[in-house]
Amino acid sequence: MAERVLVVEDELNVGSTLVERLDREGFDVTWTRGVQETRDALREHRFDLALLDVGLPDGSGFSLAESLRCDHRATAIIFLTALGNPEDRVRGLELGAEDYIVKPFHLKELLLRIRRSLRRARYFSDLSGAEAQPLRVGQALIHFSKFSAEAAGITHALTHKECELLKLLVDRKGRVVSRDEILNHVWSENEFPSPRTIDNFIMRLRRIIEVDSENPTVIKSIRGVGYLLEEELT
Amino acid sequence: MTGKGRISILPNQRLRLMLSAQVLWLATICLLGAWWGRLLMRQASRIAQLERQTGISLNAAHEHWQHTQRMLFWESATFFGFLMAATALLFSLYWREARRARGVQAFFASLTHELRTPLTSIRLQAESIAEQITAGGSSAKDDALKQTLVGRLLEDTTRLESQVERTLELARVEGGGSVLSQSFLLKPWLDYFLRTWDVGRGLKLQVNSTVNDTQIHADPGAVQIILKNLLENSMRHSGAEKVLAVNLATEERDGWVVLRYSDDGRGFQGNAKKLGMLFEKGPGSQGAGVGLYLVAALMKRMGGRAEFRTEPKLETELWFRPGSAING
Repeated sequence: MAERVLVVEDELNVGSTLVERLDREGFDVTWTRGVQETRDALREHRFDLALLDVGLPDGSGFSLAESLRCDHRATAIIFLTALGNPEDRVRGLELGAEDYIVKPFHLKELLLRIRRSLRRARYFSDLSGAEAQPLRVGQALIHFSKFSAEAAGITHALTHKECELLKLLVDRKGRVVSRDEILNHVWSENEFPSPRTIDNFIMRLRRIIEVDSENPTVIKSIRGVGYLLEEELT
Repeated sequence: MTGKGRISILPNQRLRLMLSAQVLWLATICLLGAWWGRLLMRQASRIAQLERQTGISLNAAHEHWQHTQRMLFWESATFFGFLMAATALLFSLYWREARRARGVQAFFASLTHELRTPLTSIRLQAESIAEQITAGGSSAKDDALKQTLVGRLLEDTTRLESQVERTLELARVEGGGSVLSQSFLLKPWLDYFLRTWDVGRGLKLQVNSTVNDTQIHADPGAVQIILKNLLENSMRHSGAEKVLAVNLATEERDGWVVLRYSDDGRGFQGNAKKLGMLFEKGPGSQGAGVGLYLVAALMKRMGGRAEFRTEPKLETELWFRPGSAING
């Protein structure tokens, strides 16, 4: 079955060409040109991937990403925007985007990055057997396949990147994971997250996992090196 | 080690830093002034005391002391008055400059966005055409696709050209560039301009014109830039994809030739008073806040004026000086 891709682009020529090209690649493409139109489309369909422009006539692609993260956790997000300054990139990635592509871009590169994002998103959705079972980390019960975590009676949505980061720490339980390892595993070659981005991701995970996030006992910071997951997992 | 680069985020603290420095400076000056005033008063009091001790009559000493006090009071008051006025002036200049700097920053951000979008589209069309050529398809469907892609390529080149033209014109106007002054018949000139405007823009221009055969005194090049900006504004905000409908009409009012321009777009929801101001954009507008400023600035240069009305719909009135029949 063809993967469903949502293209949110207000620019007529860019949108048309993208839709034609993705269609030729075998994707099932839906094209929307504004925030409201996109929200309507999201009410009717589920998508595997959303290509989001940021500057839309009736709002921002960032707000759409927030909605997607809450209601469509399995949808991978790629920002496709002319806003290329570091603040916007960091914001986009912190909102849980798989990738942040600045215009102008090469079609082939875009297609590669779409495929990679879909592959990464599918990894968690397709988990089976023991890996698909909920995993207790600290006070939280993590459902990687559902991109969610339950803690203190509340269900939290996890972004794809948060899941990848947590999975990396879980796989290396009891060993220190350096910042460089995190960068290499969680972020792609073309993404340039600041050290602050990693800290923010860790901080958000701690708020869910730790009983007292100010004094973490599960995800420990190893000064100058990286992070260590210490908890016994069940 | 990873080969990835790192971006360090530097928060824009300049504004807060400058404000803190100004407040600190004002507080220091006020404290110094108060200390200086108090010191002088004490000195005056001491002098009067010494005068009394050295045998000068009390009346004379008292009078002298009062005179010195008055003098010091007025000098201090004048000094503080000037100081406060200078500070207020500095504050106002600084805020104006900061506002302008923010405007320039927003303009460049917007310009970058406006340039990147057609560039993206051009690259997409070009790469798609290249793929088509490599694939070697020559069916009617392939030819139609190539034709569509080339059409989009032309549209985007025109958009890019308009952006560059607008930026250059802004630089020229801001640099005090001059305009020509000549009389010409508006209607034939306008008809020719409007016939050629939509070439390569991917939509059809439909003009509902009641323009009279009247002479105006203006720079035809500047009028062309003005109309281009108005039409592009309509194109951007009306959402027209196939047909752009605009209305043009002339009338004579108070010795002026008024050219009225409007479109069938969604109108303007922002503060109408700010229309035509540099870098001012309406809510949700994707422009750079330059188009209408150029309209207003060029009309002013030609000795006329531009007026923007928002009720019942957005309408621009261009007030031209009437031309002389000799030059026409």
